Amino acid sequence: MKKILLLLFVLVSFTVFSCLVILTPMDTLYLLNWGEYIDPDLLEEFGKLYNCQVIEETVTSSETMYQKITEKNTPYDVAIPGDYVITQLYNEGLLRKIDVDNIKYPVLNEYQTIFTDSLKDLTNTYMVDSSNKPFDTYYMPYFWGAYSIIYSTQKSDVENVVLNNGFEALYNRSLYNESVKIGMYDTARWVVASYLLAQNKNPNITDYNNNINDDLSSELVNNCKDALLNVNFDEFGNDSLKRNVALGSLDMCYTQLGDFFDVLFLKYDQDNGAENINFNVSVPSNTAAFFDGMVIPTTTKNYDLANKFIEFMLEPTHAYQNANAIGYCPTLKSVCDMYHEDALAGEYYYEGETEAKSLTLTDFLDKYPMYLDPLYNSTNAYLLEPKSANYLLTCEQIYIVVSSIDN
Amino acid sequence: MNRFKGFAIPYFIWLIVLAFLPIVVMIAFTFLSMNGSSLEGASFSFEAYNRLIDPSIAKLIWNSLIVAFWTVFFCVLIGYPCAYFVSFSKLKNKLLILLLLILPMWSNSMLRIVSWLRLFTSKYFVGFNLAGSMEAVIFVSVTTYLPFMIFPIYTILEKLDRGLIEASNDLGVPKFKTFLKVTLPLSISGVYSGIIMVFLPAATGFAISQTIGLGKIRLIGNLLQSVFEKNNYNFGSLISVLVSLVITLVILLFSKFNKEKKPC
Repeated sequence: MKKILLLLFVLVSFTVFSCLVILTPMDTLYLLNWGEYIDPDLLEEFGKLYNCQVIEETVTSSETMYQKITEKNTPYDVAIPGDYVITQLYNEGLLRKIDVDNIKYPVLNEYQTIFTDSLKDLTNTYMVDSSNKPFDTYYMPYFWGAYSIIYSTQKSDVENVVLNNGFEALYNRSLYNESVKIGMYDTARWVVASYLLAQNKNPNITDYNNNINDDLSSELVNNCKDALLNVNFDEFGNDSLKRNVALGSLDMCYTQLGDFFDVLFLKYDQDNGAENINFNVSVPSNTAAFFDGMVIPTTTKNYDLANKFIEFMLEPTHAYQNANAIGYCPTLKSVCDMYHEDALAGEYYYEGETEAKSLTLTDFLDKYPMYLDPLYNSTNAYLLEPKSANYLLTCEQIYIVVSSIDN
Repeated sequence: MNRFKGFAIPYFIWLIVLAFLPIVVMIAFTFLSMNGSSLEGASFSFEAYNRLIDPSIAKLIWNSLIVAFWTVFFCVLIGYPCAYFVSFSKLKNKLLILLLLILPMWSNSMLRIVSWLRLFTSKYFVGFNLAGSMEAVIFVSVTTYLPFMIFPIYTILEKLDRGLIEASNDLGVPKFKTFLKVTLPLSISGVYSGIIMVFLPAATGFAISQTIGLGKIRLIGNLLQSVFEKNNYNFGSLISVLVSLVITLVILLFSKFNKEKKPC
């Protein structure tokens, strides 16, 4: 009897397994993305719509994304790297042209026109090939933002200094009347960029004559090292920085705009609404912007599905849903319009138990205009350009000088 | 015994493929200027060696050795008595005590590291300014690697012939002297194994220094991690080879010391 039961069990298991295999969608889309950077409901919806499965692999840096694409071990169909890695991939011939459906999505084929104006200006300046020709049909901006300072509003001194001095507020402790705790991002290249921005300079230059060479000049390297030693940042981190400013254990930090909106929503969500938000964000007038863009790497084995995925994500309702879920600044004009329409309709950014704990979308957009236009306050905005391995290593060697500080 | 020699072949192949060849490849990479790990367009270069003169790198190696030294020191100081008292106790279920000792290890190590950080930055401890200090990095290293010290010592103590200790006691040697002259020399090999097992990860790890050190305490592991993340196999390989050399040197010195101290 036991043997019959066992045989029956094996047969049933085999049948169930076979059914599962048969029912498994034929097409697979390999997506290379950052962690928590897409609404999972949208992935599910896309899978149902095109009877396919989406396998998402996440990484923590654009460089890792580049490494994974160049290794060619996985047939990634869509990747969402940062701007300068897109340029690098394009220059190395590792991207395929995006080809969206002319009939179904006519507006998407006008590429540039669908994006917000200030982002369009930036991409026209920076996303060009060696003959200054834009290669905008090879990428689709996904989310964007600007380098900013998240600061605590509990010390009035801090707010004044940050608003009046921009990034210099991070490097000049003498501007404050009291002791302040400053956090810096732990990415070596960002450290160097922040130092140059603090001096109102272009973050891409490699020497004080504003040249852009293969590597940083020794004068700039030494000055940057000295600045790091002098300011002696209280913390180097990444995701921890925004949380610590929100908690009050740091007074300010250098970070990306999206980090602020992430921690802002988290604060509302965790406290079931918030009456007092003790932190704010400032995008200085001299800053660097960034965007992440959807690209189709040459590793793709499902080119049509990859294009369909990009079309799907650029569909305004989907892009709006995604921006709401992720909290980063949207790139599409249509999505910005939808935010304004919803604000007029009296929608909430966060609807808490009481009115005092809630924030209407109108108040949110008034208070944080940089959400729909990260560069609303900027007179000089740059994109970080692709840099040589030597440059990146020199940045790393600048950063390790912090190990010489006796803590 | 000769007929069993064949069984060693898979181990030799294993060693060549997973230890010897990667080292050769790493050494070759140190002389090549290339894009990532791709040999396409690679050229001969001393670029990575030129960067070694930066004093910050020596400082990082020094920091790593300091953290590893103090971690090992405190692990021996706490681990030996722990293993000794569990092994020589009359408890019925010694294994249960050992299991309790490693209970924290059942949770993810990153979770434990972040928990320490939360504790150090909580309102109760924030006044001590522990987060971001070398002392805190060493403390968390000790809590992380302590079980690696206790287990080898405990295993050796369990195998120790108790008759030798009884003989020493019967001959009227005081208990402390018996410990110094019999138990300690016979269990010292367990301490050496523990030291190597603790020293290696403590010197090359990066998660503890990155998290507890708030990014300000940088060890050589942090540099390695970020260099490889930036796809720089050339300089990354050179640092890896250098770290291997330093660690081999430390272990060689240590085993020389071990041989000299071995009881006749």
